[in-house]
Amino acid sequence: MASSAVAATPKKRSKRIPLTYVVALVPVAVALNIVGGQINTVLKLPTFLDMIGTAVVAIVLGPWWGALVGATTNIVSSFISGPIGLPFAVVNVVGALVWGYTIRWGWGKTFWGFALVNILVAFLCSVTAVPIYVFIFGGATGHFADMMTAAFLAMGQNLIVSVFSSNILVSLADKIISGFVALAIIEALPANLTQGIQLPKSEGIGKIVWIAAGIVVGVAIALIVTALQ
Amino acid sequence: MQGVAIPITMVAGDSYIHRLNPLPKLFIALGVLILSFATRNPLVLGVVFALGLVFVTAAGIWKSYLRVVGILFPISLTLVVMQSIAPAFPRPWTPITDFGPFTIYQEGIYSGVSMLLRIFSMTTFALVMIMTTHPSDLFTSLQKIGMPYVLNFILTMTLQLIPILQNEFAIVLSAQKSRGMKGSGFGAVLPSMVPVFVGAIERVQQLSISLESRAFGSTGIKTSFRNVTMSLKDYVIMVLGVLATLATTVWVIADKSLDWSRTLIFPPTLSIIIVALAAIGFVAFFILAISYVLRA
Repeated sequence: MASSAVAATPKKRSKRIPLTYVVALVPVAVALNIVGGQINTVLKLPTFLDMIGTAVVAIVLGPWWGALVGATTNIVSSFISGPIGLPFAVVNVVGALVWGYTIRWGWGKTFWGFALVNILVAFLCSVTAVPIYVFIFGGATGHFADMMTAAFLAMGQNLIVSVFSSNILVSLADKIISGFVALAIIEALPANLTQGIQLPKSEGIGKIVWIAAGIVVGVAIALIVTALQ
Repeated sequence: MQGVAIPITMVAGDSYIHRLNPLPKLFIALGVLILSFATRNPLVLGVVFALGLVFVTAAGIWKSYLRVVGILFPISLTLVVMQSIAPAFPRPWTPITDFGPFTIYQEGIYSGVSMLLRIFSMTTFALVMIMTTHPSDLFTSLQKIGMPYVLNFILTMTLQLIPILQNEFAIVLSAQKSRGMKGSGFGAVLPSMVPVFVGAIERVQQLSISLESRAFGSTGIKTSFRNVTMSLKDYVIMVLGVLATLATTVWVIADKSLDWSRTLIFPPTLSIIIVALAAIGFVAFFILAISYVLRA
């Protein structure tokens, strides 16, 4: 490898982490995404839960490794549940890039900053996902959001607005939950992997309470979304 | 974990399709994918779908195939309902009849039916490819045509890790239940993700050391445990398959008379029956889904 002894800046995190480690971490993150998504489907939760691994890798290793996890997730899951999910690889990649870059830029230093990052991810993921839903699947998702889409349609909205309105609600709940679960996972990772990452700082139990609060807010949004149907 | 088994895996068999090299199957499946998106004509898509079912029969994978198609069922129902009342089609739309607060449009039914056939035709070919091919054979073949070794390794590794993580989830959830904690719903699933992932990270460290000790990333010729060869027959089928899908794609794009969106008229009664059946299924599915969430 050509990487000389140049002291890596904090931006070049992946340079400090050996290739073999990355090659081993990416499949684990992808598998977590896929298993999370499967559990979400089986328990019929009003979220997606298929981007937690993406968030962890995007934040810890960098946005482009996260993007690799995102794309790989949808490619591998197309081997498991058919090619329906394949076009949504773009959404997973967008999520990874937003999480990766915003955390690098230091937007997620504080709790509310981190929550805001998740909201931004949710918004941009919806913007990417809606055209795919509308033009490839005719607005159908086989998900909870369909009922809301039908409600918005009945109110006289057009298909794109209806799909976006319902998708953003589910997406907000999903990305806030995924972001904070990822934060809890990152907290539990070996210190050599996570040093230098700018994430909400708080001590011991305080931080866990913050994380739980974040998750509860996410779940509350998800339940309100379900109730509204 | 009960109920979270991988629905698609290779179905063991010795049919002609099983014995075919993975590459012709992959290229034909990709060709059908492109073809399905190139047209909205229900007849063309229907023929492709029927052809797919012929391959399903030839491969003898009906049982597994139907199980996976069951997953597509809710999507199919919503698709027909959504499209009938809000077609993903340029206006003006031709109203056929009223259906409760909604109006059913001619273009909507057309669009719904064609999108449904599109999803089913591409999925059928993809499933035939996946269910008759050992993943390692596919990745070995891809490596032969220049797919990077690292990417190949990541994909294979992921497929192997999924059952392991499913198992660990089941263990963590059982441990929670045995201690009187919740075993389903958000309250159980989210906290269990942390120990599962952290446990997996320990595995990553071992795996990393193991890879390091085997000189992963070194240059030189890589060999594979499984050996896949391309025979003349495989080449012929690959070339014919690619040419057939390519020619059909060019034809469906070039022939403008295949756009039946304004000419294929659905009678009002038939339209109401299609949409009503889909709507009943759609509502039943959501009542079921909501009851799941309330129980969680």
